Amino acid sequence: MAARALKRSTNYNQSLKITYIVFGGSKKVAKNTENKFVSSPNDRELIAEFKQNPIGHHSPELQRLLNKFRGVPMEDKFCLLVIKPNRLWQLAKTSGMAGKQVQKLPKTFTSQSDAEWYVFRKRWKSLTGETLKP
Amino acid sequence: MTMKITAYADRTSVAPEETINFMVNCRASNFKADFVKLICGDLNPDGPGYKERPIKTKANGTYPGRRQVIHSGSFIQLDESEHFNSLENFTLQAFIWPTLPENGQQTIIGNWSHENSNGAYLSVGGQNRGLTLTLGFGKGKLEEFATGKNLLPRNWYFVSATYDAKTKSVSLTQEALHNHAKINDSTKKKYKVRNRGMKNCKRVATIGAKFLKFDKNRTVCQNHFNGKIDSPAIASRALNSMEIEQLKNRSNQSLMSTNVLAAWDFSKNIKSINVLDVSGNRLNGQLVNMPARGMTGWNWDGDEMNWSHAPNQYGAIHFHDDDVHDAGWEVDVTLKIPKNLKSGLYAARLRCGNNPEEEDYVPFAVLPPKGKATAKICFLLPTASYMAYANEHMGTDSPIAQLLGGRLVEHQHQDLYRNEHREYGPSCYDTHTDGSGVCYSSRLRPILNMRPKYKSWLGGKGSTLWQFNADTHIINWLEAMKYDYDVITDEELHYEGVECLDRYKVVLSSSHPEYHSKEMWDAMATYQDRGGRLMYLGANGWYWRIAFHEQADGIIEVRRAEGGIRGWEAQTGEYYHSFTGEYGGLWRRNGRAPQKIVGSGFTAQGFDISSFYTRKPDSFKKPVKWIMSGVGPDEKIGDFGLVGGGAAGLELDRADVALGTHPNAYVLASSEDHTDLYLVVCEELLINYPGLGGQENHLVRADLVFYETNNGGGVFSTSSIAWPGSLSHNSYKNNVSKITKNVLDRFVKDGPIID
Repeated sequence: MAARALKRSTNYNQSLKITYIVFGGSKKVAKNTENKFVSSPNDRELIAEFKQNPIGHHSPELQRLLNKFRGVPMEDKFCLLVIKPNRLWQLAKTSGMAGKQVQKLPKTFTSQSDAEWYVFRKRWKSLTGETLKP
Repeated sequence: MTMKITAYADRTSVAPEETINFMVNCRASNFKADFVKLICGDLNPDGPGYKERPIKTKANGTYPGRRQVIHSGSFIQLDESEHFNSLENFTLQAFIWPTLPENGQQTIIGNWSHENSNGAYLSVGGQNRGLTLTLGFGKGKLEEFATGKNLLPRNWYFVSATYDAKTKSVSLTQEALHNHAKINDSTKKKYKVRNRGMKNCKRVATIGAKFLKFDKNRTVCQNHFNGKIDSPAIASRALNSMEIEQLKNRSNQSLMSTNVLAAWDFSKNIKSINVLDVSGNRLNGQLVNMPARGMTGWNWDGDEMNWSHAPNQYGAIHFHDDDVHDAGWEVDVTLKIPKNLKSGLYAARLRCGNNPEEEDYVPFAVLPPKGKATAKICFLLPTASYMAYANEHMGTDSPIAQLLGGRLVEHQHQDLYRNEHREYGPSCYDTHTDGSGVCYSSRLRPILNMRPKYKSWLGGKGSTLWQFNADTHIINWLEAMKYDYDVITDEELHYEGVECLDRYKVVLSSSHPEYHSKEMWDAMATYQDRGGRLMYLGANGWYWRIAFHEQADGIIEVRRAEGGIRGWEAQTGEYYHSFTGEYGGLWRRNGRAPQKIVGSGFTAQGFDISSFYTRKPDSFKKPVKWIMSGVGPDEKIGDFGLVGGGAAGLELDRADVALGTHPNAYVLASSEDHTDLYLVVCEELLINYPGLGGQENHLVRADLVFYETNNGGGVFSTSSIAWPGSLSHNSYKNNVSKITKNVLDRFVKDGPIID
């Protein structure tokens, strides 16, 4: 079936709209957030907090940042493919187009935390321009 | 992503000596069919491990593979008639509410022979096209006439087209019924036709799409219409403007009885798949792929919300290019259930190779013999809830999936396949191509997320299980603890009523029995009232009201009405089930909050990590302290597990006497310390306010509840979807398993629950 855009109509309620409103429908995180996220000395603490525990309880400050990262639109959005259940994952990106293939990327992980940390660094780079060490 | 084999069955439950058919799409030259008893579908190596037990049947064997495809998109197929074959001069007209007029050509009414390119079809769609009439004179000779005025999405128009073969003239009327200032998209146009002689030939008349071909027993269409069509009609000559107006208003009986070939009234028989022609010619039709009925029509004025009170304002049918009801595949494998096969959860295991993409499972329940029980315990497989979630696309489509899950979405090969093969149809959590909500879902198609070995993005960190595969942890526990049990499904409950439960001492629910028809609800309530005992091993149960179609097999309806956690929202005026006329939406808004039937009801949800319960004072009271036998007073309950790492997680229910919890119910334990991704459900929010997350809000909790019902019955509710994922921890030696066993052992015994 031919691919078609997910962002199709505007006169109705659907969950997709929620984040389009929040993020203005822009494609890249940097564009969405550069005027809203203010870098501060506390950043180092957020990075350390995430690295230590990427999934679960977070400080309100880290949660706000993760909401930005994880709520981006579906176009080129990072996701994982399960290669071996609970043991091996492959990085991928969704297309944002219903029917269009998820793009597999040449990067695999043996833990979910490693995958989260990798994507966090990618998103941090897009947001701030800073490259975090692995 | 290619799955080389996909399949479905004609039923989800089958009794000994009955047959079940499997329809298989296979890209290899042959496939192997085996049958297995499913025990644990969880592939997580940190859990009890995947378990299935092969069974020998006469149907085991190798079968030739063949490709079978799904032709999605709804339409009305009109009964064959010489009237359609011989139609040469005509008027076609309807009220339309297009939802994607900017997309390609979409047919409102067609009378077409694709093979002969002969006939006519009236369409909308495409940039700068507007209403378009296409005439086919055979041998590829087509002529198109378009108003050239775009239509606005989600606005009503009256449209008509006339063709007079003798004068070789066409007229088009595009009349906007909206009142937008400075938008003039109404027009009337006339054209001359070059060709002559639309020969009599066999045509297929359709509404909502254009005929393409027959594929074995199925009619295949193209140019599917997205949007509503109301009051379509065909006259057997080119009507003048006044007559068109009279037919539009159905005001000229003389015209209706002479020159009107067909005038369909969709407001009649809304519950049916039949469509009636009220002209007297009886050119009736049938829905294909179940477009939505009971939808507000062009003349709906907002005074009435219930279509059965004012059916004349509900004369619209909403068509979608991705509707699917019955895939209509041919049967490849037929299994007659052996006479002595024990009731349980089974599956056809279909393989055409050794890779995951070369394997599919089609689960089904083997029932006890008709009218009998073969155990004291019954597991109720929630097939209606599985249908509601069938083939959901939120993981690939919705930006909120990662927000809800608090992590990257994990996809399986089935998810990628579903993403690329939208013809497999959406779930009741998805929206259609045009953004409207999916209110029907069918099991007569491969349901690729109702499979053992499947992980769902909704399932919490860890095993990441949701619905069907999560429920195999209950089966696994019953097997490991050596309980004897039968399995029945929601459809037995719906169609047979309480009788199918009465045979059992105890009924176990699934982890997530969310969708119930009135018949199902009544049967369960009656069972409890007669002394039946229910163990509700999940949460978010008895939440949405659904309806089964009275005429069509294997399809449910849900209207996301005025409350609840919703993937979409029904449009105002469209809250009533078309299948039954019942007010849809939450059971809570139908006067039956879940607390009334299971003591607890949906209160919060989150999908990252799960938490634990701590004991409450009620658990130490003498009448019920046996429930916690072997559990220390300060022991955390379920601070372990495969679904989110705890027994309290994903969706949570709470006791609330104001909503119907039995006033004497015991709240034995409550969960705590949920993350802030757990948020209070929206039906609790009259005024939204800060502090709705799990770290702050007291409504974010699961309550472990027990209460007695009449005649010696009782209900035990865990109020958490994650509960079954903790049962197998530490080789079943844990407090979640212990509490579950304490209750089940007491429930299954004769005599009162409380001495």
